[in-house]
Amino acid sequence: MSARSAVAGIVGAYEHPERRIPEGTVADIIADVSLGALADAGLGIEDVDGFFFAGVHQGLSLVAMADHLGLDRLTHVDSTDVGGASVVSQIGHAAEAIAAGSCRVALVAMGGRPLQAAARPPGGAEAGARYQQDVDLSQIAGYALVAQRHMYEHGTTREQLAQVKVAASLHAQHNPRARLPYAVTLEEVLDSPLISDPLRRLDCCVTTDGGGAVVVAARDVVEQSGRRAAWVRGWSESLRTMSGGRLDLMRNGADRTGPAAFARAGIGPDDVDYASLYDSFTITVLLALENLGFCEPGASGPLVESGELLAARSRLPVNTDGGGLCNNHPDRRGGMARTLEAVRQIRGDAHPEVQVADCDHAVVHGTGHSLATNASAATLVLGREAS
Amino acid sequence: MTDERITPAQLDAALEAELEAGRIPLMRCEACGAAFWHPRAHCPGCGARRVAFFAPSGPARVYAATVNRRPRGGDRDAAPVQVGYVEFPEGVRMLVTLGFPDGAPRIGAEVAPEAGGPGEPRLVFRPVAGD
Ligand SMILES: [Zn+2]
Repeated sequence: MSARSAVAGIVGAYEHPERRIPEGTVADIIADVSLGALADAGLGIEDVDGFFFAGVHQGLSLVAMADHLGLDRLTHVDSTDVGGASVVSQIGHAAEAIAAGSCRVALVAMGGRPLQAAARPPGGAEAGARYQQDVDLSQIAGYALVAQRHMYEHGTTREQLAQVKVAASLHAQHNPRARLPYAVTLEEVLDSPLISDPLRRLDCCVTTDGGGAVVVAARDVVEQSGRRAAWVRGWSESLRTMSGGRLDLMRNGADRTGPAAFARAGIGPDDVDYASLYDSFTITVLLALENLGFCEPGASGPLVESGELLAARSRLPVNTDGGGLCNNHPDRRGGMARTLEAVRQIRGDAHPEVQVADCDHAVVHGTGHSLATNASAATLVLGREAS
Repeated sequence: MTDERITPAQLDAALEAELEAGRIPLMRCEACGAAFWHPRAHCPGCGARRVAFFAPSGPARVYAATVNRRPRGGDRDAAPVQVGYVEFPEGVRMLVTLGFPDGAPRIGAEVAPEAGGPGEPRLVFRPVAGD
């Protein structure tokens, strides 16, 4: 696949500033972030002709949300739901829709208030109900299986996993909005309560209310806006399911989506200046680094230990907002929050302490559902220039 | 069930019978021969409807394991639960409950299913002697 010039760019972006939202409804949050992203783009509700939103898991349909927002001129809608990676997939779909002439101004929005829910969300039995009846596999226990296997196959250490959290926290101390806006030590991670061997409480992402939105627009709209854009240079999505029992826990789907997204963009892993990697748990980042080709399989542990993720001293800073591990994980889905930091890096809007100099190319990788069973994968390559 | 499709109700009944008998609920496609898990009324490899439970050709070994200390939706007071994937010679991996007496399931160990005790699932994979 030969790379071509990007036809769409992220020209508006907005992150809800709060991490705990006791008032209002989820629809109110999504209205806030949607209007914020449109204002950032210099556009209005009346300009939106593409709407990308997955809310059925919250009881909020795309149709009802479009009505709430006042979207009356839609020519393209998409409620793709692949769990935490949904927004990353949707931005790729928006670029495709714009390339196909199906819309010109696409609004991609999400939000949620898990801290306000009385009960935990239901487990995802669905099609796999027949295997789950006799196995008590929580979300963290599933990722613990992946971590144990990684330690067994590659000699990855408990300390190397912990360094992912430490790196996120060193970034989060520059983000006053972060849920955990302070540095965490290696010892604090290793001393936090053991939840499911080998994962401890501080290996887990935070749970927050909140949300975010981006506006993906056609090239002429971007150019007329006069705003800096993060051009959508490449994208790809896939699923790594259980495959009838032939799953490989060391694969996360990025071994497919990474090469495909890079090929579309006409660049390789070595050209990437910044990466937003989905970090539901510390182990999630290690698999993303390997499967995207930022290092060899099994080499992510030593890479992280060397400080590779850190903005201050790295060739490839990762999650400079503090990530899901320290900043936010609204609606238990990190795809939007991670995308927003990549857009800041490309536009030069990140905090000065973590801003990457001359950030030409950024990667966003989303990992949805569960790496232990059925995982979704979506990769974006964003660029400062359209080609 | 060789020549006709298995209905969902028949599959559920057959799965119950397998678990009650303490047998491993692995399935195989009678069209393409592929073994698969989890149980369903068609082959995920070729789509054929002729599928049946079968006994694996050799022992299971632990592929991945963890001790969940917050089972039952995060209950701090519940006893820890051992869960993991076991792998069969057919190359299929199955999510199961493990029961290592020392509380420390080990990757690579050979395990065999036994009927679970009080408060346990019906099938628990325990280490065989010497492993
Ligand atoms: Zn078959």
